[in-house]
Amino acid sequence: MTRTSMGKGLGGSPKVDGSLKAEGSSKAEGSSKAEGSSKADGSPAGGFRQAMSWLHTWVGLTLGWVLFFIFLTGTVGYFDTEIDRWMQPELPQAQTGLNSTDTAEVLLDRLRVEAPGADRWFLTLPAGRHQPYPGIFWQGASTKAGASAASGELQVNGNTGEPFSARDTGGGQLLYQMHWRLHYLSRTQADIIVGFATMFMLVALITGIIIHKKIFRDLFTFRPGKGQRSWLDAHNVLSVVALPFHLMITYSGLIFMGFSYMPLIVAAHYGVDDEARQQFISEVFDPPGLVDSAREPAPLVPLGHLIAAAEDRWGENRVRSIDIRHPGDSNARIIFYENIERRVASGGERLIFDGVSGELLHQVPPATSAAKGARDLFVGLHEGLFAPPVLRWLFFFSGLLGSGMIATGLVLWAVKRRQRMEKKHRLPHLGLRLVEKLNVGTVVGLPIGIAAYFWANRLLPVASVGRADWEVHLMFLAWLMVLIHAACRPNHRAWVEQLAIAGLAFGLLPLLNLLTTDRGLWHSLVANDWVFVGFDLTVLIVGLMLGWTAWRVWQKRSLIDTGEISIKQGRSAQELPGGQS
Amino acid sequence: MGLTGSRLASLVAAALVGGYALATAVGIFLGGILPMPRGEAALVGNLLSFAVYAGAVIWTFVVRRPVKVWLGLMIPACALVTGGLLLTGRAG
Amino acid sequence: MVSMLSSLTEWVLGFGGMGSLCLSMKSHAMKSHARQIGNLNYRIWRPGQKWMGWSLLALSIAIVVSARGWGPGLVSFFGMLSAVTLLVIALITYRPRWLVPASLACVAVGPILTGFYVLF
Repeated sequence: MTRTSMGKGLGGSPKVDGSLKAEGSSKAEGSSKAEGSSKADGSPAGGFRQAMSWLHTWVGLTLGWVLFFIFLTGTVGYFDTEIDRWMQPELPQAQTGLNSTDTAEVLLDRLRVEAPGADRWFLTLPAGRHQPYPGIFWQGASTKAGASAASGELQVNGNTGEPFSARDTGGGQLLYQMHWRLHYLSRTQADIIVGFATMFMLVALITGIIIHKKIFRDLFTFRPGKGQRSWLDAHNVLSVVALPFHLMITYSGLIFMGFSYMPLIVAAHYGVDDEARQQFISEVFDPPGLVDSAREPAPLVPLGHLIAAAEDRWGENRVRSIDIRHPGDSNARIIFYENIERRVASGGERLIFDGVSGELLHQVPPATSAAKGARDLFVGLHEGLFAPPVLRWLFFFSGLLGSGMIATGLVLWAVKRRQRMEKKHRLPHLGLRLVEKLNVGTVVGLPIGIAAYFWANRLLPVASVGRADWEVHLMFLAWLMVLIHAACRPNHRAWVEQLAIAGLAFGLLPLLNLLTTDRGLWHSLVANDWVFVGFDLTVLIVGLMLGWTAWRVWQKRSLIDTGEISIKQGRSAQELPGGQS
Repeated sequence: MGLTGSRLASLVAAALVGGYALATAVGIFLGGILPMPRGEAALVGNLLSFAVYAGAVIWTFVVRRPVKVWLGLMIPACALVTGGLLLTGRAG
Repeated sequence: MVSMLSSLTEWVLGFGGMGSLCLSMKSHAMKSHARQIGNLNYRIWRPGQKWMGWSLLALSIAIVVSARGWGPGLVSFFGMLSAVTLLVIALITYRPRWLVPASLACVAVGPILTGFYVLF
């Protein structure tokens, strides 16, 4: 049944490469027919595939820009901690490897000063890449008793016990948070937009698999320099090469936010109020043995031998954090969390101690039930917190492939229609021009915005008020300016100019870092400071690649504008870059 | 594909709202009947509901007939919610 | 060091495997070198490359799972697979003649590395 509909769609395009013509794209064929006429219900199989193609096209177009934002900011988020550290150059290198017992003592002293009378003290130990510095967090402290705030968090220098002071910034965390919080929107608005976008990402992936008939046979096929077909090849390659990642990241994203997106499932069985929801959360997620405060003071047990017990079990420096509930109460409980680098599923083992006697009450395995285990697995895969450096790069790289998949899909939509217009000697209609401008303004504009965020971090005065907010404002202002630029310039010029700007914006960041801090590339290399070296080199390479793409697009206007011309030039332009992403 | 105007709007609404209703209903049903503590059962329902949603959206645009789609999504949704709550005795 | 060796083995086997699978397809095989593969030879070439490809990939999974455990192992395998597949596509597109030697080298070296990994 796949053979019967083959070949027809190729009628319009010249057969440039004889040996490959049989592998012509089924997708272009399907969708061009699907949009052409209303007689779509010819043969059952064809009708089904056309319906899928139609759905894929329009879901992709309407949500593509939002999804590109989600994918790219989420991808950058795989290096959230590293970006945090680059954006606070005042902080020293990571303090991992400090003695856990001493560090916990230091943190506890700090909590006694900052948060007396608190309901909960939380100690973060410098256990690895995602927790480079010791930190504290507290809830329900009493300001009357001298607490600096009812709840708060601080990063603390593990050697001196003093809080770190560094420039105010949202850092990599904020950049990563954007991919589900959309920054300026309320939580509810963001949930609705991101939830539906992710849901339809899943629909787009499934329909894409259905309409792409020969996933394996076409897997290695990329034909550059052939206009629309090259874009389709690039879209297919980027989609299929990392298909397991795309499916995983999409479904796990839904599950991650599942209770917010599908609140009624829990509500139906527990009730609709907050208390009912809390009941569900504690039944499924909380470790056993937690109790309410007894309101009777009792001294907190020293942490030393509890830490020793935990490290006996888990290994040295493998306590990730210590969660003290009701410190100073006779019902105090202390939860130790195991570090998470050894398994994919999020969350390690937990040990629960009596906070007064120091008796071990419970050992809680990472997954208390199969259902929670499944959820933890998806969440762990999504976050990739377990991933050591090489694997972390592969996550990042897969995320870029996903962003590229969305970008090439969007460009393909526009290139295909422009080609059709030009064949009929018609001017592109308003919708097409709008899509073209949004494409360049998003696919290149968002990276420019991200670069602007980094520039703002270095250029805004360290002491200025609200500088963290302004870093983000400047990111979105830069993006807005890029969109305006795209609206004013011809399509091809817009791509070239913006790619060049993006290339400069990223490529010059190491220079900016050298001029505005004392932690330039050379210094970082000498000091073995691989986070700074990694950041500087990465943005340099990204900048060079964007610049190179700008140069190639400038040479070959056909790459973006017209499939027609590019097919004629196809033979002489065998080594064109196809999927810029 | 000849989908325009009110017919298209109705189908999109069916995919968004009807699909959501069916996905939630399946989740509630599973939360009610699975032989495990209710919290876990509700969690399983939650994990699987998104697959149902995706399936419902795709089915909507395969069928492409608004009346049939709306009925096909909403009748099972109502039945599943009722069934799931009745079987666990939490209907009222 | 074992983890270095296991990663290297995983990647070499993965590249050899995907390269072989790519070359098992006639159009890619023709493009890459072998205009000398006639129809007759192709009948032998194709299943040979296919078997070779799938075997190397299976071996690669075995290595990475034994080195890292199922969870991180499979995640690592799929990540590696995306990267080497893209590399194979880049080669067959822009440097088709390099693919055969590169792939064959990995096919040859992969099992040797596997041997080292098993022994040490």
